[in-house]
Amino acid sequence: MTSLHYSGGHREQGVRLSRMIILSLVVHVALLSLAVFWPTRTSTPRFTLGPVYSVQLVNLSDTLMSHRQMSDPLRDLSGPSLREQSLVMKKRVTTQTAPPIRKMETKKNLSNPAVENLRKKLGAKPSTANARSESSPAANSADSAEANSQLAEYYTVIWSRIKSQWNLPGGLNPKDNVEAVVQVRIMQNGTITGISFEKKSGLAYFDNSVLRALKKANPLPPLPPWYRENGLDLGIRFLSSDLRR
Amino acid sequence: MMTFSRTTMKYKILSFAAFFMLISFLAPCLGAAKDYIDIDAPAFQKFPIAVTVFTKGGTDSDKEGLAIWFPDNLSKYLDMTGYFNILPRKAFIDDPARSQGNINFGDWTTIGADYLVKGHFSGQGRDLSVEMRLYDTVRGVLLREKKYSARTNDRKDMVIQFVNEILLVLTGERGVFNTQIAYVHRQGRNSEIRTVTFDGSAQKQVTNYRSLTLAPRWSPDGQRISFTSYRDGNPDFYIASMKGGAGKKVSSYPGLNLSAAWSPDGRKVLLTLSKDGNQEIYAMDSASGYLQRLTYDHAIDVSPVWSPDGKRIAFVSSRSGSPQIYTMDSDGKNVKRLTHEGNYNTSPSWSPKGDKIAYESTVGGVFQIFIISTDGGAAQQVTSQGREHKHPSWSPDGRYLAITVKSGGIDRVAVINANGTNIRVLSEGSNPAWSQYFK
Repeated sequence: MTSLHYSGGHREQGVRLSRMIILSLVVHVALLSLAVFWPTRTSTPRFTLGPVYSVQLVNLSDTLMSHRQMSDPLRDLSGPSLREQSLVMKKRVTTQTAPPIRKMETKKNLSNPAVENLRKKLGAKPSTANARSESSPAANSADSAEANSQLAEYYTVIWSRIKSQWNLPGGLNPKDNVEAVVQVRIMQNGTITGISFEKKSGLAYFDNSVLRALKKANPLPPLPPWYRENGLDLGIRFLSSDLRR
Repeated sequence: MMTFSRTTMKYKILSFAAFFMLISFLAPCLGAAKDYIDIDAPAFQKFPIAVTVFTKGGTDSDKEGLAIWFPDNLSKYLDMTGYFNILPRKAFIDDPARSQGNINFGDWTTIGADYLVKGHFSGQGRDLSVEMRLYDTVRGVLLREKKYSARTNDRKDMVIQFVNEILLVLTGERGVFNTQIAYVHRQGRNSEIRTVTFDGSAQKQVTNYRSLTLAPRWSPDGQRISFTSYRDGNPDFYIASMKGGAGKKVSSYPGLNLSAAWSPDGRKVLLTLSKDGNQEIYAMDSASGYLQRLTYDHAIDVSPVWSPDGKRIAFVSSRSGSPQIYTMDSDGKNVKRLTHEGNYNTSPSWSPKGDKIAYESTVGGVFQIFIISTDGGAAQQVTSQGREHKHPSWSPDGRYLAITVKSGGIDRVAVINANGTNIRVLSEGSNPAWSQYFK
């Protein structure tokens, strides 16, 4: 009887174990799918590229300004004015017909649904932008993918906002690519707080231009209403050279 | 019993594995959930700066109009650097009466001024005491404050010193105001060597040979200038002291004795001599006159320049059939061709940082300035628009080039930012050579 009892207990243990294994498998599959379909919440740097039209390499008013600020001896020149003809734009300006995304980055981003989504939106204006904005961001993986695409939309807005404020005199932009990485926290109302350098460029004037751009862009548009957290921590990489080259 | 314990073991191992996998799956989700966005290529815009009218202390009246003279001259020198957009005073909305000495930075950011210069002066007789301040209006901070005391007549130096301070803060380097540019000034059929300051304010004649005089080159200490002159019939090589004097003939071999660059330590001077048949490059000891031949080629080898570390020499050779830029070791070995595009590439100038060489090349039959990396790569054209641009010479900070620009048949010496913008004519003349900093 005792042995029977034991063997019965043993069978029970086995059943419980296989149940545990099945449960564990279910948990794994769930987590795996969560990990796959929730890529933007990882710590991997993600490259959010903004709309094509907002890229501005040469400020027209600047070139006109340099035009205006020619020295006086130029007036003495005979023939067609040197003032009008001496304007030389950097060669790279004329080659700006290239697609706006670096090849390397394109490959990387192809597997990123949020960026794919963003790219689709750049092509065709979204019609369902706010359709699910009321849903909880972390309710399920589908919702979070949607949340991410909306965050990507927010990133596009702040990308162009900060970029439009970032400038340097043409002669000072380093020929070799330098980068500065800044950590910021964007509060619910869009205010930028806690600006700190994760990486400095090594050129004080370059770092200052970055700080000035953030200062001028502050406050950013408020965070999306569904974004429940207190603030959004974001890394911003400022690169001196053109990513699309 | 055995079975039971084995099952327990299996259970333990499985649950451990499950836990391990759980952790490894969760780790990326639980870790720093931070996104990064990339912002590339800043827009090219000059620093917008406002320079206010200076305030005056003391009881003396401002007979010389210094309250306006200071901002006008600060603006002039800032503009000269090519990095600043000087906002017109008419655009200012700041009301000095209302602000009463306090700065309302919002008044300045509203009109688009990222930077603000304010100043105060007080004078007694011929002595002048001036305070100047540079503010960052966006961040609302004082960046630099300087006090100068000097004779009223030396006030230009105060302005240049403070512009240098502004440049140091905002661009990381001082300006090149204390440098000069030597050039060839044509007078009828003759030409003489002259020098002009970076701001174009002071010109000085170095030679008075009443003959064709060419190719000025500075010694690294700025005390001497070498050149070639036909004064005695043959194109001979001379060195003149900047302190005065007629200059000394150093090399007068039969044929061409063409002046070229001084070594960075000032001990050697490069020359092109045609005494052995065709033009070849030689290095001459500037003290003893000892000659070392560096090139041996049937083609023409001319226009040598040293790299800033003195280890390499760039020169022009037609050994491939057309004039191209080559580099070689300072002893003439290890020759490498640098330019491959264009069929007429001449007048190399090695950048002070050593990474680039500027030269002239024909585009549609017109000379334009190009810059190429010393490790090869694609050359970048920096001038255009139909006019002829020749003879590039780098400023000692590597941010500008002195060039010859030809228009209406007249050569003029001009200064451009190294990206080709902001041309500023200094004088009629050609073949500019930029000095080092004067101490």
